[in-house]
Amino acid sequence: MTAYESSRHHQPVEQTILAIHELIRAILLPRDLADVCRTIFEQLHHVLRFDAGFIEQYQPKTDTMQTIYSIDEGIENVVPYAWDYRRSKVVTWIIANQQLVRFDDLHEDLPKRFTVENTRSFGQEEKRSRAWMSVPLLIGTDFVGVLNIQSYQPALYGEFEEALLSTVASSVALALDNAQVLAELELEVSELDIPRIPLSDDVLIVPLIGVLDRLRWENLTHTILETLRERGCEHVLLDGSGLLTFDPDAIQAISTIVKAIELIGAKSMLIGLRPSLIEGLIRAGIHLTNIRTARDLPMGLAMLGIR
Amino acid sequence: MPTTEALVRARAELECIQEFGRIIHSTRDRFVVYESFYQLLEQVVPIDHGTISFFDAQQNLRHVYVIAHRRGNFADEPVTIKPHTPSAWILRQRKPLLFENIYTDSHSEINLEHALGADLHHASCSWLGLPIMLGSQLLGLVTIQHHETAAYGDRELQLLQTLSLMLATTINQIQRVEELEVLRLALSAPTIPVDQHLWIVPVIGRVDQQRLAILQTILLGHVERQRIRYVVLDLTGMRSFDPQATGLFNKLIGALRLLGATCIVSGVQAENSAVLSPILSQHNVLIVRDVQQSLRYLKRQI
Repeated sequence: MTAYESSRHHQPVEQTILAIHELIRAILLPRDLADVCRTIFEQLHHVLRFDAGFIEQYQPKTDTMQTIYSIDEGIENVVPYAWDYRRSKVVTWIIANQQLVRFDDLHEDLPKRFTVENTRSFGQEEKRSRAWMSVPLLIGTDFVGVLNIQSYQPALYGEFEEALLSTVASSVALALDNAQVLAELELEVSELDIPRIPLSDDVLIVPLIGVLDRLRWENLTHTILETLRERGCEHVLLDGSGLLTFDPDAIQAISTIVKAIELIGAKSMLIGLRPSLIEGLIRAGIHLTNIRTARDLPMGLAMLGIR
Repeated sequence: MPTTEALVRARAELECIQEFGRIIHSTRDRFVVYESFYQLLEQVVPIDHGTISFFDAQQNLRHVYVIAHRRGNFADEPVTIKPHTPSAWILRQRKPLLFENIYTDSHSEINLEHALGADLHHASCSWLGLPIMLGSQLLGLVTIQHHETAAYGDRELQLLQTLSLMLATTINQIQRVEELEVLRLALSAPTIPVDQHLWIVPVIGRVDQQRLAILQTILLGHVERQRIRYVVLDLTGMRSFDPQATGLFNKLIGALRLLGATCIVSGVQAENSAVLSPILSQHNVLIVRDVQQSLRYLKRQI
């Protein structure tokens, strides 16, 4: 394996590699986007020399770029700014080639490589950026954005610096992707309707299905209460046989739902609870004295005098 | 100025991280992730033996990947961690642990005899292990060993820590996605078994071809296996019915009949009655106002 062209790096390589490990580990911890961006540029100072930089995200819906974070000599801008990437020949080239672009002196070299250029200035407009690097953020072969750093000094970056920024970019893409994939799926699942079956005017059956995490059980409680208000049912049969997990969240969910039903003046009955869930409910101090329970649905219906 | 040697090493590490990043982006297969974790790490760090272990849903530790004599293999075996072993210490302290020579090193809280393998011909001297953490959450454990002394130092530890966090992020995401998919499926086609003869199936929300296809697959499977005799399709919660799904709905009712189940429809709402009436009249299914009425009807039948 060959070495990088080495002449330009400003500190011991060991120190840089250690800093890049710390950077990657810091941005992979789950948190919000602005925080991820701030951490990247904070930690990037230990890896590379730069004065300014930005992160842009590609917006497939509008086919535009959105600058989500920029920083110039310590002054941040976190207000998102959408713009047409076709105005910039450099960004268009990065998207088309999925490769990094580096300039030793942006001011001098840009017109040589890209005939006409309408760059969008940010930060201190009176100063001219010299050394400049933009690397595409890729997920598989999908282009999701651009990470850029630049300096008011010329000729700071070489092959090694390119590799460093590319490595950071691959982790940034991973962090962005993680947040997005989960957010989309969670949204999709939360938008699915919660099944509820009015057995008659008096009785409502609610099957508790899958995993009761916080997002879902708040939704579920709301739906049950709305239905009770609309239909004026007197009994709610909560069928727990379809629950997949019995973690503290599920136990908290069930006790909250039961209390809420009681408060609105209806009576609840728990059906088909598995032993592990019952143990959890008892440990959580849920008093089962005012809640009726039944082994399965036929038994529950029989207790209400139906069937 | 950096030495050539340092830059060669740096390139190997950076390429290892980048390549692992590329692989975990492009797959949702845990085994591909484990395998590339080992193969990429091994290009930079010498490894004779090693393990990747994760806690399962019951909080039992399981080996998922085992490296023996420089060969990696998938595994799914429970691990018992004895107290006073290096692994137990790592899980307890949630800190990495490094030995330059496990035969001669000593540690106040760990009995190193427990760490020595029975197979002395392939004895490992260098030993490095660390917890797989995601934030404050402990997900598992990774260990690597090599026969030479002092094969591992801070560089190897740093790289292993970074790759482990990337591994933890990916495995956690794969797991969360799987959970959500199960949930999505369950919510798309909920069923309520009343007893062995009778199932209530609430058809809720926007009903379109995709929804009916999921419902059909799940419901027909249950009806066939469990010989269900009556299926109550409860349409109370149906918000809209896509006319393009008419054909599938026809097929569903027809298929239920072929399997010997009687289909009862309850809770048709006024706003859907116009689009549903041609389908329902064609099949001569029993239509009732609510589920209780269908239960009364069935009580007379059974």
